[in-house]
Amino acid sequence: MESYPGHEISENIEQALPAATERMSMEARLQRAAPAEVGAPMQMTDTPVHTQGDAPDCLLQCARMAEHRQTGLDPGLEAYKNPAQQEGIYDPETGTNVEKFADIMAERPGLSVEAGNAQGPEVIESALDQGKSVIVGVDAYEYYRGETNPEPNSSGHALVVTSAEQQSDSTWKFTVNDPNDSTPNLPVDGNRLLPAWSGTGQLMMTVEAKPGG
Amino acid sequence: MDIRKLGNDTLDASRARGWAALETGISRPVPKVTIGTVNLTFLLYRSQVRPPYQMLYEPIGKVTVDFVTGNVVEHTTLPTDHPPRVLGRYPHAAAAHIPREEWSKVWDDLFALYPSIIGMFAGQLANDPLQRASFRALFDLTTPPFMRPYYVALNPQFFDWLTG
Repeated sequence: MESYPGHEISENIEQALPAATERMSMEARLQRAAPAEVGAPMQMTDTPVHTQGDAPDCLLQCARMAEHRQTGLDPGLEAYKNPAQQEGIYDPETGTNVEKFADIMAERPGLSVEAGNAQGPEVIESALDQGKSVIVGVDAYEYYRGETNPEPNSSGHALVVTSAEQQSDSTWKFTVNDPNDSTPNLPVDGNRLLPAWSGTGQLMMTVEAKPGG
Repeated sequence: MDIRKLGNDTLDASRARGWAALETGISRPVPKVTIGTVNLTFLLYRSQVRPPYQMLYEPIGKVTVDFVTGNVVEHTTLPTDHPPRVLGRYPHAAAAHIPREEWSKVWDDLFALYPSIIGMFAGQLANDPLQRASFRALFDLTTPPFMRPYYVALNPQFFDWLTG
């Protein structure tokens, strides 16, 4: 037993090495462990985040996130920005024509893309359960009004929904990747996301890797 | 006429016509009476949320709608710097300290007063100085100083009447 003068500390040197070895072994096991499936289903919570900064790139970054998750490769922003700009669908000074942007996404090799106005949150959940990435359009005022005092009739914004689950009391809980935030899987209650989604006519895009793509 | 809904509908119509992008926001309307017809004109501008702010850019266009039908009457592209410059951030100082629930009510009250104000301005309703003063206070509270010249330019006579 070693004692340290002036400190109320003592340790048994003989037991220190085995204890350290056991701890290293435990940490190694934890690093290899599969994520626990507790509570909300994991769905697409392993989607990488790409942020937009000051540029009007939210939809482009969401498309990039979706492709990154589906193919395992980051296509880079330019993969979407360049063709969209060439076709007049994206302007770095004003933003993105959301109605035509699905065409740009559909041109990406190995991806299958569907865009439209969804019926409700069950459609989001179903798509996620099938392994599809889900992008939704939201009314920025409705979505951010709990955080700040924005101006109504504002712009739209795009998010990647990474999980969706209906609770026993019929409410919904989601997690999202917001291009305005580098934190993945931000938890969002249905009473925040759903009115904001409704403000865009429940705009939704699904992205999945083509079989063999 | 629900003015908030009319604004959202006009923004949707502008997006469908390619005048506005996903990141474009729409202003509150300014009324104008032309040969007995009441039209409302909205500004279109990039309005990008960067929490905790919303960055507002120079207006890129204006859209005029018929107050009765809501149909688009005219669209005009506005000259801007290249690229359109940031005018400032929202909420501006006067609005930033207002509690969230109160802020929602400010906007609800403003939109609720619009039909009466438009009616008074068009001479279809009797003048009510108290309502006019309330509208003026709410409009000023919700309008950042850097945006005010753009609103006034839509119809200076409306603002002369409002403050008169």
